[in-house]
Amino acid sequence: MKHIVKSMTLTLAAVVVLLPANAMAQVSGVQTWSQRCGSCHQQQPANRYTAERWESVVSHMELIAHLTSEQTAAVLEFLKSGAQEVAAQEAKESGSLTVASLDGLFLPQSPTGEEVYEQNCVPCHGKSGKGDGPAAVAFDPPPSDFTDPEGTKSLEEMLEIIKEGRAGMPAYGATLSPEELEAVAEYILNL
Amino acid sequence: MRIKSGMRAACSVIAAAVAMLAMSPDLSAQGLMVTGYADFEATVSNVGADAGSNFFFDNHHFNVVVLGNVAGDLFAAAEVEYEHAGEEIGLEYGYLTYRGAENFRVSAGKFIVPFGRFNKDLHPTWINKMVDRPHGFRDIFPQTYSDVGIWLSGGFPLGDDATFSMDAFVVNGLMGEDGSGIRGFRGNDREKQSDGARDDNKAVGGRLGFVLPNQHLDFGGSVYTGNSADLSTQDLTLTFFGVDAHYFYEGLSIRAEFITADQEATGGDLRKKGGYLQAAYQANRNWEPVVRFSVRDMPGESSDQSRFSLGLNYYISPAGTVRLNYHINTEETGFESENNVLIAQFVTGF
Repeated sequence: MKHIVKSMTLTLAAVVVLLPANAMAQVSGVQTWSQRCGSCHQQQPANRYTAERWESVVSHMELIAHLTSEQTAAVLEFLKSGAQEVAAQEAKESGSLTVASLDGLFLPQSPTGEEVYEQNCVPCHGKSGKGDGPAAVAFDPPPSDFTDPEGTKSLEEMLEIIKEGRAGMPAYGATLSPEELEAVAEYILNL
Repeated sequence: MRIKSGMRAACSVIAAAVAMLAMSPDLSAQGLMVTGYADFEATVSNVGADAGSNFFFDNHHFNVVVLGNVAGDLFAAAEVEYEHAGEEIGLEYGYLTYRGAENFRVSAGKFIVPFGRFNKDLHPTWINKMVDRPHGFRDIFPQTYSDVGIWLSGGFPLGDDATFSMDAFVVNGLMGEDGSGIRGFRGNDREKQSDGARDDNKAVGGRLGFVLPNQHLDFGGSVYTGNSADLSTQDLTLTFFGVDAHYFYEGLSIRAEFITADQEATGGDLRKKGGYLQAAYQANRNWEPVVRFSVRDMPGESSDQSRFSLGLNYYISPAGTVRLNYHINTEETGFESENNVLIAQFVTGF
């Protein structure tokens, strides 16, 4: 048994020493969130916690999910960008120890297209839809500019893209209801 | 395994370093948050038995987690478990982690031992896709097994998209009576320090894993080994090996784990094997059917068991779920319908 433990220790040491620290291409927060968080549990919406609390949660998940430091920073930026600043302010005012916000625990019955857009699309596409959200820098090619006339899509085409995802954008077909999909597609087409 | 003065010295140095970090002048509870998960179960067991079935309510978990960055790169996490309506109360884990190094973390305290995936990552009821644990993670690897010691972990980039993960730990270890059930080996019995068992005999192990997101795959291997009984004439070693794999694509999740335990005993060494294969498919935002087959192979044929489980999950929200499970249990002697179990559960993370 000792030789197994010794071999494992040597392998660990070799890998840690030899691995290049920055071998990975630019990391996408939304992709990491989609691929790594969603592989074990339901993806939690960005507005579930305040930005401050996301720091605590992501620090924990960095340890549990073995995220690289770069992945941790990217996914934290993505989630913080969607966090509710109102709750953050409330947490600061009420003291250092606070119960986690229940926002997002129960989904609204009929969110508007704008609400769905703000919860899911703003981090990458930006509030104005120009593809300039805070997480846009991680994408190559960059997120679509919905205000560009050359990129005009039909409702059916837009629905297909949102459902299936493309070029680093996660698919939302399984996470949004048909009503939410249609609402957000219409909202995007009117930006 | 006997690891004496060198190990003790190393442990002392690391513990002292962590303690110094914790005592840094700017120590303050910054961003600590309270979270956790709770569930309620209604179970009908012995379905179809002549003597009648049993119907039981349980508040299986109401576990409260406190976590946050407390000072600089020092992170703290603790989970207080209230299980079975408060009949079992304990500290599931409570540790400090230094996060200041690139891709690499050092933790000290009581942590869930990073062996395989179900024990450390998947057992919380709001994450576990079925109501209870599969065979292999009760009487073989005693999930949930947390212990006191030092834990090194990290995630490292490997090429353009893949990552390599590592865990290595040294803990007090599982200890118990010669040849008895492993599940009873848990605990941090400081009284055993008096005979030297806790001082000198530490358990070591870890997990190496790979995550290949473009292939929708992650997999790894785990080991744990340590002395499990301290006799005057000999040490008795307990060793676990485990392999795990997960395929995840477009709402489909296929997961498998297999573990073995080699338990030395004066009455003859014991070899135990178990594992599970589970498939789940989230067809839309609300509905997710699940199937799981799990098995355990224990010394003595009468202890062998297998279970085929059918489940249906309804997601009320990203953290709240209603689960319905039906377990078809098979003993070594053959199918016995009266052993079947029907369970309904509501669980939520909060």
